[in-house]
Amino acid sequence: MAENQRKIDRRKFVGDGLRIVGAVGIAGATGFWAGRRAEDDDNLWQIDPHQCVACGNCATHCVLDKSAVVCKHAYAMCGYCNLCTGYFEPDANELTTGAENQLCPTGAIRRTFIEDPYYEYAIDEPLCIGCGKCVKGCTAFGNGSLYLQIDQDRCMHCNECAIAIACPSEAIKRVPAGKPYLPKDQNGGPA
Amino acid sequence: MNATDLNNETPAITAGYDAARRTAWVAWIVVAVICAILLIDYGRRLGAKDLRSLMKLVVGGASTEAAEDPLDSPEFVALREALAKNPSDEGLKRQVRDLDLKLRQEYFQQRRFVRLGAHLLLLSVVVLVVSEKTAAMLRRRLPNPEPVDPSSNATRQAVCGRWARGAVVVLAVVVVVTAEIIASDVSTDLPTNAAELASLGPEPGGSPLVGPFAPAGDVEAEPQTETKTPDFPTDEELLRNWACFRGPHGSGISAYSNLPLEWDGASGKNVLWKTPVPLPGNNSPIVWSDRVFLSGANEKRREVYGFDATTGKLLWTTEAPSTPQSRAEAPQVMEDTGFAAPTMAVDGRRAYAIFANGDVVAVDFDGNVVWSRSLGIPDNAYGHASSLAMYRDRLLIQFDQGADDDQLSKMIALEASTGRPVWQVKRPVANSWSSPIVVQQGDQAQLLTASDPWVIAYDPADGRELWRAEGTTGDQGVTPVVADGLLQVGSEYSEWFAIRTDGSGNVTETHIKWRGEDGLPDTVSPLVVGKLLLLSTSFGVLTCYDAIEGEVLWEKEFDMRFTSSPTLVGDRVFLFGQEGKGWIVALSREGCTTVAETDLGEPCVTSPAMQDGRFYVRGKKHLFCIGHSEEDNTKPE
Amino acid sequence: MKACGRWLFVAWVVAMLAGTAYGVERFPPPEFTNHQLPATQFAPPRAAAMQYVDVALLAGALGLASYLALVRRSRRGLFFLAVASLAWFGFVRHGCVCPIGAIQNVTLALFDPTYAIGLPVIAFFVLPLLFTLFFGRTFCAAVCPLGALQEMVALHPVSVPQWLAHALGLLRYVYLGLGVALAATGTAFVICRYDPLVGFFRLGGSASMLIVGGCLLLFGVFVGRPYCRFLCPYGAVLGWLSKVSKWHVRITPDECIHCRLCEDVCPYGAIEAPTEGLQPEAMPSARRRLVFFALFLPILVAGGALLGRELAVPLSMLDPTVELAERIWAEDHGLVEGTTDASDAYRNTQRPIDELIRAAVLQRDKLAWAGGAFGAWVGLVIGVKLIWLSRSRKQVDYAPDTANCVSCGRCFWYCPQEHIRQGWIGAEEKDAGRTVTLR
Repeated sequence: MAENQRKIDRRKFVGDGLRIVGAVGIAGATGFWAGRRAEDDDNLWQIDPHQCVACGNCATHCVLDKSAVVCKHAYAMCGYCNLCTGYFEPDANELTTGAENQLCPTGAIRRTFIEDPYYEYAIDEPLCIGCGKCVKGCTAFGNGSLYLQIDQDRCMHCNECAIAIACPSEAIKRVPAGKPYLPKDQNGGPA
Repeated sequence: MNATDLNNETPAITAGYDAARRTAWVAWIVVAVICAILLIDYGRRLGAKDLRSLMKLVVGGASTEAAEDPLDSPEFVALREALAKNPSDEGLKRQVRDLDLKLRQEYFQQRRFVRLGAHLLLLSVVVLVVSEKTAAMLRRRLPNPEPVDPSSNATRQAVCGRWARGAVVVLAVVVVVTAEIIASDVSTDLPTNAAELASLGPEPGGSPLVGPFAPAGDVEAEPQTETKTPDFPTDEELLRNWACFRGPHGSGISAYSNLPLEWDGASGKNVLWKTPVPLPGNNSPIVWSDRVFLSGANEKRREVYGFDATTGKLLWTTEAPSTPQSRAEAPQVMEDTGFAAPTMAVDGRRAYAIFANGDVVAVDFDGNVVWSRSLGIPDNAYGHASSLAMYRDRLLIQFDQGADDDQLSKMIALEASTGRPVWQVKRPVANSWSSPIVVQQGDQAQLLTASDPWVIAYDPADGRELWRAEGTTGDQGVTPVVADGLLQVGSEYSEWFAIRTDGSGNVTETHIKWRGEDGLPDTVSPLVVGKLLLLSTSFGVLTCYDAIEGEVLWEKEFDMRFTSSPTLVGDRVFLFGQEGKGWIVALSREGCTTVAETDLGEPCVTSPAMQDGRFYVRGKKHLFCIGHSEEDNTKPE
Repeated sequence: MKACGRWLFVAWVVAMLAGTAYGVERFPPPEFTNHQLPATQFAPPRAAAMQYVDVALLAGALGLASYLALVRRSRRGLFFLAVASLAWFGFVRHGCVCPIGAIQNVTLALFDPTYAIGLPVIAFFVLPLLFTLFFGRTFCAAVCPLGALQEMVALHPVSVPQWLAHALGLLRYVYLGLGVALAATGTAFVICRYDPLVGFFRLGGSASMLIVGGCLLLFGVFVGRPYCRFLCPYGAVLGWLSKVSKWHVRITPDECIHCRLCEDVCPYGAIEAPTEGLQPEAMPSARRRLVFFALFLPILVAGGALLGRELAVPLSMLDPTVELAERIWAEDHGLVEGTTDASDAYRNTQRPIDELIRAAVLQRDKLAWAGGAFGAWVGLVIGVKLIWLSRSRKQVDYAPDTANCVSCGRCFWYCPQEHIRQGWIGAEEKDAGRTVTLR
């Protein structure tokens, strides 16, 4: 009996010891991680518009059926062109809002006459699928005022962003929660 | 929960159980149906026509990559194409619009459908789980274990242990085999070891800027300057060799005066050797100690050649590695320009060449490619022709293209050892054919460039703009020279400018010393001989200016077209005509006298490279080395 | 490309018409006299504080689960808590970030000092570990949404032979090693990428993921918690902590009467039968085996390390830098035709190619080490498992195997002692428990 008791005591001792080691280890690691983390946690995904090449992967690789990526418009950068290369097909029949002239596959860009010869272009986000066709057109031949951003409202905040893996230009990065967007006309960035 | 659960079955419980069971069955069917519908719908989205192609899609693990664009439908594309053929067909337009609306509606309808399907699926799974759980709870039974002999437990354990060990071993074997298969299945093209990696060039940051030009004040870097030799040639080495287009500082002035003054290609007089050059090219030879370099190219191939300076033997031919771009398309060039118009550069370590398609290659003295990179096909009306220049360990490329407001033109500095860009600046200029030069003006090295419409000086160390002047409009094919603090530059359709190099900012109004309108060259670069400036038009008129004051001193016409730029050897000027006929002339303020007439015996559109006692010049087909042969009596004592 | 050509022409015409100047945008933004530029709308993200709410909810759920499992001993309570956790951490929070995936975040934070890890992520990783150290795997029982989902669907469990479960359980360690190796080198977060169930929480995802997940769940109807038992890397860690936990769920707090009613009811094969250990006549061979395996262990580790190093190349293919470098290298050496978006994008940055190649080779060297460590780990796990399986185990009562028991509480109801304890049946009926016969 005493033999058994000793055995149980020993087992308990070893168990307690391991548990203490485990607890101390976990606490130590926590302290290490907590000490290492940056001031502002980078915990949201966002597209750096200056690196984006508008390849179209955003529309197809998001885990959401309708991608969390939408097109944003930096109005202050826009030339308000009549011939908007983000709005019109390259071989547009006429410069009108006719469906045959539009580049956007879902008709998500609204074109409004402001004053001669200026037109305003606005994104109807519920329709936008983030394919970036307009972004490509605008960046290649216009002022580059159209750009893609991850809609933080709809982003799933996956631990590993599926679009980031598919992005050819590593344009998707973690941003702090305090600065969830990388707007093209406010923070400038490399010219 | 109460004890009745254990063994009593009231009719109510039986009825509840049956209901739950039935519900569960229905839920199972609903779940299966929804799954099937979603799967079929998914297949339809990806264009699967029947069950087999759907299975293929599923097994093939098609990701959402194939996700549709509503307007990719073939019907729509066909309509669009029809409209492109009949741009004014209103009926077609209406059809496009109608179809467009329909497709977009279908697209969003489809998305809603999937969303609805997912929610219905979730709901039915919830119903399924709830009903199954209810059924299980209502008919929960205690198990009725067969009696076993407790002593057999040990045997059971032993048997289980044996089986488990076997299974673990099997698993281990499976893991090892899988790993082996994966490891042997995936191969890499990248360098696999340190030696191969090292051949890419030294580690980044491995070559510090040292030597006489090293920035002062960096005390910590001081000890390094003593132990490490600078990885770029000294001024003296540069002077002794002919390292770039028009030699030291791009001046066209030889550091040697002991060159032969007569030769004849037909009789072979003073022709030490001549060697055929495989591919054509309008670039001029460059020389470093015992090696002469040329490049040649046609639409398909781009090659660099290394000749033995003593024997003329073509030691090696290196094909510039092709890039996807050079494979994809050839640049559009004019026949007079060719695919290898820019003259190479050499720094005693490597030689560098650029081709009309923007491919740059560095080769060592044995012809091994050290690095290569593609700058992209320049948008150049006649074909890229600007030669390479060097500053310390930087390779400088004037990459002008397009129109002046296209923002395409660039000045690029690459690290000579690696090809890594050190700096790059955009240039507000149009395409040009002029080459950059680097000169030391006081404490400041200046990288001088001429193009349409700006002449711009940069700091070659960092690309900082030092000054600019406007006026050299039109095609700029002439490479400027600097003498006495004046940059001599101009183009055929503007004027000649002598610009003081000590300005900053836009110096158009302040630093242009003089302008000239006579004898404006289009291709041939100027030569400053003492206080005289010599310009040469391509149709054979030599015009001499006072280099300092801008006064036209004299003109002389030769019955020959000139493309080759004049070179000063001692006090003699070497001129090569397009047909190969040449003149050696002596200049004065009053006029020029022909000292000797020569003939290469082969058309020549390039400029010679001067070395100690001999020079090299490229004819249409051959590379010539002209020097003092045994019986030459013009040899200086 | 054709479209591009057309655009170039259009752009040229436009440029001619607009007469743009150097140094400004191609088309200077107009200065309107009476038109207000609209402001671009940006939907704000979920408040950062909500993350801490999640952490608090996690801690609360863990506490509640431990209470329900150890004190209240309520299977029903655990079940409903699991439903709630599934709803919140699964369907509302879409499964991210979860403690399983957090393994990779903390690993990367350990190896990459520039990686900023969020406090909530650390909390998500650490809290379940701490609770497990004291209360057993109550996290698995009712807090983990993946576990909860599988718990829900375990409707008709069959028992997997113990020996097979032992072997398949090793896959968790392999997966853990792989996930850590790839996370430590910053290559990929494979545990997240190949998470089969998270697609359901998002009600969407790639078809292959959903189909694999669906099959897994269907499988889970018959084989209880297949992901937890055979794949979950976090479960492997929790198992070890649970082994030394201060308290742990027991089938009954009272004396075991060896009625064997609980023996087969555990769908996860986590109830161990009593045994007296090996017979004396089997002892010498068992001891020899033990010594053999102990000596064999270093060989397994070394062999694993060697084999693992060979995995550097295949593992590196998961790394975007290496993938891009391979592509560009192949393009530059004429091994492939054409270019990809990625290679074009890299070339357009004007960054030198060999910088990329060098980075890729460096990364592959790192992966050779990580692969070696991974192989050694797998060898170690197999070796230790073999030793573990060769040891003589003595056990008196029916008791949960603390490493594998997920504290789901299914066994409570089957224990007659528990029925007495809860007052469902009288003590005098105690012995009847043994003779109750049901159809």
